[in-house]
Amino acid sequence: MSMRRRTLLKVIVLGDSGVGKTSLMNQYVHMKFTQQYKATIGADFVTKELQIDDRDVTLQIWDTAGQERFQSLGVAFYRGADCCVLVYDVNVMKSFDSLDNWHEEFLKQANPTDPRTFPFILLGNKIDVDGGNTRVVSEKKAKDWCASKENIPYFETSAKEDINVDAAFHCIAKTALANEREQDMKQYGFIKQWRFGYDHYLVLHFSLHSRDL
Amino acid sequence: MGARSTDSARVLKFTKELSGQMIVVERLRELAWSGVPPYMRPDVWRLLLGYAPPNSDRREGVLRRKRLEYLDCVAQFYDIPDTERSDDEINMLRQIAVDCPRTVPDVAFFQQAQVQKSLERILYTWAIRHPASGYVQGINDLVTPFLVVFLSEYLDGSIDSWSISELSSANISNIEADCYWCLSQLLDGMQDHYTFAQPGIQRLVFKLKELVRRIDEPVSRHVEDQGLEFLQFAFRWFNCLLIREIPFHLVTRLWDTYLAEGDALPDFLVYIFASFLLTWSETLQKLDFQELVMFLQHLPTHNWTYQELEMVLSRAYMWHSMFNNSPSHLAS
Repeated sequence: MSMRRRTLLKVIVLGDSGVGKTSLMNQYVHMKFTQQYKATIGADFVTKELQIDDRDVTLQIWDTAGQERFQSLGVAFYRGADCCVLVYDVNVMKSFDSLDNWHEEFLKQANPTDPRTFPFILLGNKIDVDGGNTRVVSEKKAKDWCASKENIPYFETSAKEDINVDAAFHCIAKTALANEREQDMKQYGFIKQWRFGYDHYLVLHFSLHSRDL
Repeated sequence: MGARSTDSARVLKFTKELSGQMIVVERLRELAWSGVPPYMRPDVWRLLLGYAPPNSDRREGVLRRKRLEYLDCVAQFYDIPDTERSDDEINMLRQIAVDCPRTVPDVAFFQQAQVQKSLERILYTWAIRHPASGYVQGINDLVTPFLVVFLSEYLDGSIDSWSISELSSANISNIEADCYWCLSQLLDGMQDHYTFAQPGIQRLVFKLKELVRRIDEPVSRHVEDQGLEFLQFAFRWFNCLLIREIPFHLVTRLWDTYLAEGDALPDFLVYIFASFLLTWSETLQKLDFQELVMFLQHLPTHNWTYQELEMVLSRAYMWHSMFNNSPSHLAS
């Protein structure tokens, strides 16, 4: 029997309608790009299995609808999230301006234990469009915004050309994993053991788990 | 073709019902519930929705007036420069323009630029005239059954061979007007499905959960044990009236039943969707959370024919007669 534990991480993807949330997810999971997507209603769901530092991880990614009207659904989808991915289109200023709203609305509805340290990641998508000539949000502007929000990691991506998509999601998984560990520690009061290394923690966690059985 | 909807005895009954000077809409509803012969659909749908009046003497005049009224609305609200629109209106138009190219993308006909323009005009005009909700994503899907049915009066053969550029602009605007008014009539019965926080849909999703619990306790318990919420899969069903979940060529048949239900539709949707979900009762009980979500988001209906769809509808009808009249039946 394998003692390896598969960690489930719940990731929420948010951002204005048409910025490419579904495309990014499908490029990442299915390595495909098509112009044929339907507008997402409610939320779509995909999973991806990967390894982070020898640990088996499954990302459960909820790709949400971009229209504000659906924000009230958030509670059903955001709860228990380990990481929130914000997406905007570098060619559409409004999608960048909406980021504050998405950030705030997520924290309100997901209600994480520590809103200040809850992991977010920002993706500026569609950098391929017209060779960058239609771009209206500069990298600096985006990075300044990230700095103002507890230093959110930032990636510039193209779902169409598969630029930076893997790197971005890898970072998402790592960040979510780090957050999950920290949450577990706090929950079980093992914050000191954490310093002795990861293996130690695993054993403790396992024994806790088996007691439940 | 649905076997029942084209069978000659049924066609005869429809012909008889439609030929009178004064149509008895209730009798037409009963017939239409089990499917309308395709070439009669435009007339029958207009009547069922109360857009065309039952009195044949008045019908043409009313339709002419309504179609002109639509043209006026387009001129007044759509065909104006952005400088005359409010910020909210500009945002709404932008949202509609983003969604039109993403409407039924798997059917090539909807990729024609003129079709997308028609869709945009209908949706924007509807949204402006319904400020309580405005445009909500998914309403774009709801126009498509009307569009194909009213286009079928002018274009022959299969939708794969249709080209909208064959139509005169007068015909196109009549078709758009019919879509606009029929969409308005349909959604008047479910206004709170699309207003802020979509309380109508929330309520029906709750009812669906309750109904499934009464009909199929093991599925209900399994779904709950896995931590899956009905809202996580059934929201889209209600928001798009199941259009996304079945092959497009079956949608008009499904809508025959919807429109025959009339005012009772929202409550009956709960029965249809319960029946739809429980088509896979046994499969669902074998899946864990992750598999459940994936399965429910991509239900294996690609090869469905009228037969599977009509099975869903008949079972919904049966459960409705069993439970709706005796709400506490089976409650214990």
